[in-house]
Amino acid sequence: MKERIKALLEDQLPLVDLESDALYQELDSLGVTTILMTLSDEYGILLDSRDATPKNLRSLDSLVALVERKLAEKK
Amino acid sequence: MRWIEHVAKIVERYPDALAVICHDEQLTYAQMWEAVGKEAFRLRDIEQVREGQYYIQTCTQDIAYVVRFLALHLIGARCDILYTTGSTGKPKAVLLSDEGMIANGDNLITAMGFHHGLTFVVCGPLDHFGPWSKMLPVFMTGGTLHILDGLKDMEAFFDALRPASFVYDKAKTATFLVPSAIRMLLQFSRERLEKLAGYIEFIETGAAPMATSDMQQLREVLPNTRLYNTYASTETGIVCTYPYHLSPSILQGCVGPAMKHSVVAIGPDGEICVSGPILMAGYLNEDAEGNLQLEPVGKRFQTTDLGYLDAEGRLFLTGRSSEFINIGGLKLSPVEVEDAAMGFVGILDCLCIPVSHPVMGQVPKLLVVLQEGFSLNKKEISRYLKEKLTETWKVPINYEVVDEIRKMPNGKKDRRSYIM
Repeated sequence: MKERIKALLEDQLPLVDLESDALYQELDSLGVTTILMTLSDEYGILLDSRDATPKNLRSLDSLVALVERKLAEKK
Repeated sequence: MRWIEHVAKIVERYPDALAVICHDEQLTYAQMWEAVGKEAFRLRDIEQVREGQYYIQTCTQDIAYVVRFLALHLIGARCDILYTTGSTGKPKAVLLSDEGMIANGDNLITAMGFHHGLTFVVCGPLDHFGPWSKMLPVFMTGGTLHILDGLKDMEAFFDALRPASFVYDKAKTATFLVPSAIRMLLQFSRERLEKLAGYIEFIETGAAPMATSDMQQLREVLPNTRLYNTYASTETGIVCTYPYHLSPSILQGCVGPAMKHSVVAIGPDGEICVSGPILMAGYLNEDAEGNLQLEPVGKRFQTTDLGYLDAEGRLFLTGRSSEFINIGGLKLSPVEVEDAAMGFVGILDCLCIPVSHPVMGQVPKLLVVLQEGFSLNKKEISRYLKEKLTETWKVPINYEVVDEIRKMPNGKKDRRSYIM
């Protein structure tokens, strides 16, 4: 899942260093929205602005954890 | 009476009212005025700023910016200079007049009802006319300006619109949002927005066309909020606004009738022409010695927007005759991107075009013709362009390698043939 998210976001956010552990700091509001939209569409999960926290958007690993949590909630 | 004299009267009338909030800092009108006095002294004494002098102020999106702005006005410096996107790719400096500031402020007060006690939340950059212009009515009425650094921190945005001290039946906050921000809120924060119904007094939008479906949704989510779709630009000032919360059905492309100090007419080719005291003083150009010289605007300004007036005098926008790309309300000249991209190794020719985006409306895409033996690395060219263009929103998200860029008989790029 991590590689898939990386590939999707790399295409949408070419200026962002997705390997960073301070990913949230690199994003602007368009970047945050792009991540929410991309993950919602790809995994069929419901994300809202409350999910756009510095903790959830800290790194690729924290994005994976967010998606896994939302998928588990769906079941 | 100068604009700053209106503010001085407000300071006298509401010394203890909150004037400005940013992050954890806040100042009452009395505190702000004291800071303004000290800053004016520093500017005069240390920086040698004098009355009538042109002064280009760097925007810092904080209280210090507001204080310096007011201090420059107190001195009488001509500091109301904002940069707009020039069609040649070079930004143009626009000087606003003091009379225009009063007229634009009064247009907003009259049309939307800015008042003492209202907290106006500004999320957009203060070096752009839409957010910047809100300082005018707020400080002319004794309201509070709450400055946020964009919409990335949604918690800060929702906290600003619903302060802890809020009394339920007295809506006292308002904001300006570009259409892309409204779409973003409807998509990812609809529930939270619904909880603010009755709290937000009004929302103004502008700077880019807004979909009728988004207007309809916003009306449903915030049934007690006044909603305005405004037509304005740095050059023209604030011209018209459409109170779409009042309209039985939302009129596509409508930006409402001319405001109190604005006059609108349609030119022979359908271009919107504006006159009245709201207009800029003119463009500032550098002469051979690097000194700024004013090129006055004249009595009427012809925009590059196309539209018509209906029988009731309401203006409807039908398109733009310019080639700018509108990225969530920020205007980009494709030429600026192309000029920067031509410096990248391996690019023979290129063309920057708008492509549609579900939230931003439009984003730039770069078509490139490569020299033989070169390939395109999206990350490398994006970073190169970020360095050259300095602002992230100007950097294309999409890239495509093409064999050639189509040209017109006169040799110019056939830009329109790529824009459908």
